Amino acid sequence: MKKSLTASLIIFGVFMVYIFGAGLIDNLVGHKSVNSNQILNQNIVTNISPSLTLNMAEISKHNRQTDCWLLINGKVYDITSYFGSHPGGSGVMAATCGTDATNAYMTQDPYASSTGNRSAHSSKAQSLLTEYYLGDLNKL
Amino acid sequence: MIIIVILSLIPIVIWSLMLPLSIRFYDLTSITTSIGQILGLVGIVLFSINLILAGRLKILDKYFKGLDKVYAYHSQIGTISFSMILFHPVFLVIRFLTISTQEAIMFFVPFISPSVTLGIFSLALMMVLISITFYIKMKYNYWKLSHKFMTVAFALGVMHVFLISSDISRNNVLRIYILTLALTGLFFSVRRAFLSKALISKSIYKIEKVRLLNENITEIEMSLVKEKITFNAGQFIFVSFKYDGLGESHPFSISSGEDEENLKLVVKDLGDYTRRLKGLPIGVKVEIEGPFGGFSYKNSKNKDQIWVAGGIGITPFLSMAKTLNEDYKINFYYCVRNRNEAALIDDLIKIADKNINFKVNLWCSGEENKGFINAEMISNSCGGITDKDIFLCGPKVFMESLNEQFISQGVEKNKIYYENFNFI
Repeated sequence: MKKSLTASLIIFGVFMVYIFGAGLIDNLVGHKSVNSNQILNQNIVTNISPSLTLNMAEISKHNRQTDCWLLINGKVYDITSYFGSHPGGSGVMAATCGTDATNAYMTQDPYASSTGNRSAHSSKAQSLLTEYYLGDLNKL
Repeated sequence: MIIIVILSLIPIVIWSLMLPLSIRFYDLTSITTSIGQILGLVGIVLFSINLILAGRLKILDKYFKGLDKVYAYHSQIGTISFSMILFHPVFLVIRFLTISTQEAIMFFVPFISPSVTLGIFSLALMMVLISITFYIKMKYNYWKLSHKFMTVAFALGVMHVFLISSDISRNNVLRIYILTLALTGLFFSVRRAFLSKALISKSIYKIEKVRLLNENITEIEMSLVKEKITFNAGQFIFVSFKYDGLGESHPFSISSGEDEENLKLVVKDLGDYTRRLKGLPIGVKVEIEGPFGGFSYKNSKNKDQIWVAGGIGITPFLSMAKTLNEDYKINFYYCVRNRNEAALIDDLIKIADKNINFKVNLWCSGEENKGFINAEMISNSCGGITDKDIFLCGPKVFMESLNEQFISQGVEKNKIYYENFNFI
């Protein structure tokens, strides 16, 4: 028991040293990657041609994890770059790519089908979401 | 044991029913996140169970056939649940690592989100306390005090579990299940660690006689003041002497017979605490909790038995020998280094003189180059071992070695009974 405990603690220690060490080196090198999300996001926004209309047909084309748009409360979001950061896992978001995800978002359930007590996303999630805002449905 | 496994699988089942597994295990980040979630769920369940196990409950003593076995599980499950809780954040942070190390560091920085902060403090406190338990040798009473704070670490962890937005906050069944287990665990550990004076009833005895059997073995005799202890020969009690710093409760086997009026303990000097027991004055009040333990010759249907005691492991056998009637046929081996150490041999010989079915063999490993006793010698001297039930009590290495030997000589595992008297 003591041996496996020691092993666990050592692995944990190495992992923490790795994370903090790598973070420190990143900082020293001056590579600021904190805003990578936003940078990516901005690129995508600017890449959209002005003549494009944000309708359901257009949204449904972006139905993959590597290119994922969704509709929440009449607003269109490109959450491609957010994959990997979602606390509920990537899978749940992937299920909603290219669809109206309003119900899924409000209930934290990709199929909005469960009978259990499900709650809306937090205000923090709401503010995160605005970073991925593309435009309103049927406008632009 | 099966119950413990089932209890820890239930949350995984609920969790897996909440979302299709194809979504839970969609890609690298969702798989690591899922593993992190499972580790957290099972970790908190096992930790809760472990606090219940540490509650020193009579029902567990009965179910596990001895509190010493309960504590052995406690130590194992504690290690497993701690490791799970330790790796819970490690797996959860991997999804941030795929973005940047900065994001990952933010995950481990306290005071950003209250629920995460609670988790971080809980884990940090657990790490400190676990390290104290396993790596630092300290006096029993300091160790015990430090271990009590596991309850605090757990309480922080429970707050983390219920404040953080997760599957537990999203599913009522899962929430109620975890909450019930956690509060039960918290109740028993708070009751044991902080409120034992108020909530746990104890018998009161007082010191009647303190007799030195040799330079480091002492017999303590106590008479009843309040609530008589009714025990099976072979059981042990937790004793707290109300005298000058000896109030910490320690486990001791009872060495008196079931029918004796006074309660007796035989104590060997093993540390500061036991050394000081020699100086106990007559009349000191003694608080006793118990009896506990499933180590008794009566628990075996087979009346043809071998008893093997190593050193101070003699104490439960002493009580058993005094209580024994002639229905039982006992071959008793008392193993010590030299004759001087065999402080209780006279008492045993007296019993053997009266009971023809009780045979005492003294084995002094340090004399005449005899070496340690082994299963073969026992088998040869008592006419075979496979038809007998075997009772072992002594130092851990002594019991493990003999246990192995007996099994390799063809004794069935469930016919060997043992007592870990130094279990904590």
